Amino acid sequence: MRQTLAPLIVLSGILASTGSAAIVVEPARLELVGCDAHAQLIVTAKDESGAEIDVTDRSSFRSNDPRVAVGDTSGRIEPRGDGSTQIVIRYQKEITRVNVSVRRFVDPPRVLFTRDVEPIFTKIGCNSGVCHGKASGQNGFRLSLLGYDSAFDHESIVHETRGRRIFPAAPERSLLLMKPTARVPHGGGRRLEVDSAEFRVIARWIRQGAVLDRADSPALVNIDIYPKYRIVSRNGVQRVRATARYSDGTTVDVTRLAQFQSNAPDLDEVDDRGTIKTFDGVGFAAIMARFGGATTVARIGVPLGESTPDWTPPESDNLVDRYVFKRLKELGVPPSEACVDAEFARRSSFDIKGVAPSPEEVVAYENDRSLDKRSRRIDALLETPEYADHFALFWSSILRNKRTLGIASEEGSFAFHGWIRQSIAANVPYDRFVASIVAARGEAASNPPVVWYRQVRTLEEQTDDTAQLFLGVRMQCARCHHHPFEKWTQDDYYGFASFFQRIGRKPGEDPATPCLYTEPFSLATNPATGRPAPPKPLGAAEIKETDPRRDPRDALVAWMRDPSNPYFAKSVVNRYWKRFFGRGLVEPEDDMRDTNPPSDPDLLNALAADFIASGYDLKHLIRTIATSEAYRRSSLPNAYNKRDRRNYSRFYPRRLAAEALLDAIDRATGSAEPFRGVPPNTGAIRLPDDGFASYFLEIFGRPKRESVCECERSFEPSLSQTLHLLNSPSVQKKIATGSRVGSLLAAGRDDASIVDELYRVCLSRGPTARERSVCLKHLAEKRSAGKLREAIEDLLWSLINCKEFLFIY
Amino acid sequence: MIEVLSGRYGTCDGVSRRSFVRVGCLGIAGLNLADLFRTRARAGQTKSTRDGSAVIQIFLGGGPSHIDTFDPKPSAPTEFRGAFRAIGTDVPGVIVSELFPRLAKNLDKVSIVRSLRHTTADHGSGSHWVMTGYPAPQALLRTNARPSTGSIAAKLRGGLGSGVPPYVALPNDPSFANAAYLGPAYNPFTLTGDPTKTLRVRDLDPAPGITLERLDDRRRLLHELDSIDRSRDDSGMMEGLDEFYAQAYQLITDPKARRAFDLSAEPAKVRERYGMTSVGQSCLLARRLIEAGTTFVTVADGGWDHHDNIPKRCRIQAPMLDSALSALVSDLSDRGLSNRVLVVVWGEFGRTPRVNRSAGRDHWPGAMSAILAGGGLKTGIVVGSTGSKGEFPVERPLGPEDVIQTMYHVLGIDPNHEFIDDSGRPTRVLNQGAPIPELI
Repeated sequence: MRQTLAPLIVLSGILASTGSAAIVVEPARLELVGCDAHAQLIVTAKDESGAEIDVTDRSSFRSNDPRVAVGDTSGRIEPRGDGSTQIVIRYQKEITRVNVSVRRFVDPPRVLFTRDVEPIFTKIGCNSGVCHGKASGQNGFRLSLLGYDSAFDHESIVHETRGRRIFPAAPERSLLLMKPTARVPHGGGRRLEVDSAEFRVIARWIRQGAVLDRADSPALVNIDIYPKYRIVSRNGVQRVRATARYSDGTTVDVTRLAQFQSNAPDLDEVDDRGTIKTFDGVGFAAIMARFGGATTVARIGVPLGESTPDWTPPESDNLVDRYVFKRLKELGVPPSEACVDAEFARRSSFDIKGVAPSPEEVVAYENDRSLDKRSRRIDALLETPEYADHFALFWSSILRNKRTLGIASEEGSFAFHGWIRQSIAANVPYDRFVASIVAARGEAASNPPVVWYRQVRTLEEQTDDTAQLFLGVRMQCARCHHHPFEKWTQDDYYGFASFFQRIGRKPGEDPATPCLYTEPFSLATNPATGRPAPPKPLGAAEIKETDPRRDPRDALVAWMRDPSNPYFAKSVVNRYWKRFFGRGLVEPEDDMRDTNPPSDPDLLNALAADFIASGYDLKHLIRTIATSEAYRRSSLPNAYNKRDRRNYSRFYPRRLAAEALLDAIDRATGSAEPFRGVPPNTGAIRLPDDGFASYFLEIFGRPKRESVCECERSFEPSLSQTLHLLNSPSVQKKIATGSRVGSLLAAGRDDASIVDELYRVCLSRGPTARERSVCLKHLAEKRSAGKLREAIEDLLWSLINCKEFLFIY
Repeated sequence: MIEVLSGRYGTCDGVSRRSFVRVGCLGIAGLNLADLFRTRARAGQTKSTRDGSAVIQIFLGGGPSHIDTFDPKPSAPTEFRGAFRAIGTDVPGVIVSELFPRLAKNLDKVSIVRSLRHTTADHGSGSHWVMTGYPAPQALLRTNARPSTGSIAAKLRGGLGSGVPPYVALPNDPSFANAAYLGPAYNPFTLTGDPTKTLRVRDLDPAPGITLERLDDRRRLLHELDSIDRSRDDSGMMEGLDEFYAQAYQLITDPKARRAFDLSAEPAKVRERYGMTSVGQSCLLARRLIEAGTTFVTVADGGWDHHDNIPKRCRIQAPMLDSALSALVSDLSDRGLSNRVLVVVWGEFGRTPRVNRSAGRDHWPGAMSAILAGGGLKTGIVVGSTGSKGEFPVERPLGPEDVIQTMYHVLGIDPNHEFIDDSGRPTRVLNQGAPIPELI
């Protein structure tokens, strides 16, 4: 997460062209050791504007001595015999040379299982999670997932089934090589060509005795990718090369064996040879390279690359704006205009309070001529009780506040919800809020966060939920195997789990909620090694427990709250960002890892630092986000940003959440959804737990609170939803019997004012001239037929069914 | 709700998934619903997409006794054989329980798989396995941890026709028929009421006081007022809702779509042939829906948890299934639909081979039977067998996943297609089992 962007070249504008720039080839010289070594060259030229472009595929690679080394058209260099030579690289009129030396061609170094053989299995997919790498193996042959456990794999290959997979007398005929080359039937088909470099490496390993590496064999230190950062045009191509560095100081080109993946499949794709192709989208993508359990990323920026009218960022001293508009400048994407006041009033009200603004609020805001009206509005919204209701719903969902045991658990879940709501209303600093939950102990009656542990019961759930919810780290994978995209091992997992190992449970005063206490000293056990794992925060040193009476969760909480914690603040900042901008800086919002970097790392760092400096003040965080010029952009695209989905050049509309939608319909119609067991007029947002059956909430995607993932809440449209909105007796009943229509009729209002009120309560704005005339015509026709009530009902129905009603836009 | 693929981490069967790389990934990587709608037709289907294929799954909740239904053991000792005789069928050498005389006459149109087994004996876990192809990750699960077979079909295949939903559950919502991480849009469309009397679609009939004419009025008004610029939303959400609004109108107003749900449009004789029972009428409705374009229907027929008094209980329950099933199979055949529509009949497990002291049988995942008919599969054959007392498969042991793989085969769904579950883990449509080769 810590990486920052390399300085960006501003694409439009500054021009540094001094005739044709020379080409640059990476690496500048090559040393190939052994007959199976190889290397990828990458040729970079500069175009007229001075931007770097990959011309590898448009260059030629000629060897001065093909008996030493040869190059193919893609820039891949292979050895042919010991000696030294030069590869002559030509791109258009430019020529440059790379020295190549080849050693030990006939006498290659010993093949090492972990360094040389395992990566082949990973690359061709043998040990993937859908084949032999899954926990049950495939057709009796099991490998560790992506080769994280060499000793296990060696045992499987060499000793299992009485060694029938290896045939030392004729290595090429070993089952291990017969299967992937499909020379005997193989469920996975042909994955390897006979006599390819990979084939030869495996065969040589068998010939050399098929041994497992000695403990002092060179170990992988890290991998590197070139280029680390590059601006690539839309529909362009960029190659990358990956190199591995070993503990003996050697560096090896592993482009052919590494795996590549983009975190933004809508922006680009990368093939198994490290060739990135960008599409039509604009923004930043991270290309992950993975090799032997190590990962790294290259960042690829794709600018719009069109000439656009000149634009200046809106004036602002807001932290968010400093970054958002800078990025848009770099990408050459002009942002949308600011939205109109009524839209902002509606948007900010829904995002903070979960309800539409009153018509009076909107008018007052529109008429306010002061310069600080936006920040005063946000401040006012944050002081409303609805703010606390709305964010309590959000936290209750991911904190999985459930009625586990039906009505008996109501006392606990109501109390926990009440505690969450109160914490938010009182603006308890976020670090204290989280500490109270994670280190909760005692009775639920006096300390409601204990209820969290009622739903999050097992050691694994506690580990997974804490990491994902409060740190944005998904540890689940490392429960059973090395995390495939991350550094986390099972030791990390069970070390983290040990913080929760000593939670004791005894019957509490509330029969449904146990009382929590600290058990005597014990540690979680890593099932892979059978060894106890001392408590260890993520990516930090083990915590040496000195006082056996102390609950290790206190140490965990202290580590989380430390301002230097690399995850804690960023995780919540990113979650809150997504609530306002519709898309996290990291997406999914709770999957933060080096291989899934933020779309703007500088912005996330700055926001997190500001949040920490504020004393983990959640209202301050919301204020910073919601008063930015960026949050105020209209959702209407301009000619250049229609396809922008990730750079916040415009507001991205989103459908109201299930609860907010139901409450919105109630407010528009003047009715109240009855829920059993809570006072009338409670509203869906204020429901304390999940125990309120509602067909409406279910079909509109209310989360079941089964998982810690925010993604459990669904916004996908469905047929049941539309049938319900346009044709259900329950919505019709709200329209027909709610107070809205009745009050409009009773007041003897003229048609224009009826239309005006309906628009203002439903859509938080007055009607346009066209809309007004459509509505007036409808009312007039029906009024003359004596069907005024019907006419008003129809208008109300129509407005509720407008997309504008259903969306925050 | 999220699907994504890394085309590079290959699949076991060597099928390239490159074509899925850019599909889906709502939320995770910025592709959106509009893309999803555009690409859904391509994603997740094998080269040999079988257009028009559909599945009717009859789920015998509770777990019927295999010995008393489709795997009789007439020469076993009484305490295993149970109360019923075996009868011959129109396929020489194949016998079924005497409780299924009608099916016996139609056995040439179906195949029986007798060697199914799995390892979990509680209803929830067993149902989860049978409905999804995956064992439940924990005991006492109440809801889907994995998407049901029907949800997968809804997501990857969608519906075939206009108006009717792609995935319907009858007579109402069975357990473990839901979509889990695919999102509630792929839960089954359910009906309310009693199929023998007033089975109806929720929100299909106009609300009290609203005539179709008035709804039409409203629709015109909405059309004029719902004018927010769709270009504001590039995620496909507005477009998606628009699409479902159109579908909903069609369903409400188009007599053809409505008629698909209207059992009273069937001749009384046909309805009686299926039986005026919940399972009978549900099977008939399933046929109507499939004809109108639904891809997957699950008919839940509960009450097979016969811990006591099997002689009495089975005599009540089996004939209803016999009528429904034989009527459905012969009806599909008469209408020329048997190549296109696969019927699968099974429960969550078999029952103990030895009859218990209450003349019932208890949960037994060691052996169970399933009936498969149509879908272009071979019929009139028996796959696998259990031992002389019906305890375990002795020949061709198969699991629920093999039956589901067979359904996916018929539906043209690539089992290697991957979704990202709620924890961010890539998860295949089905990672075990294989289509049953004897039937293909």
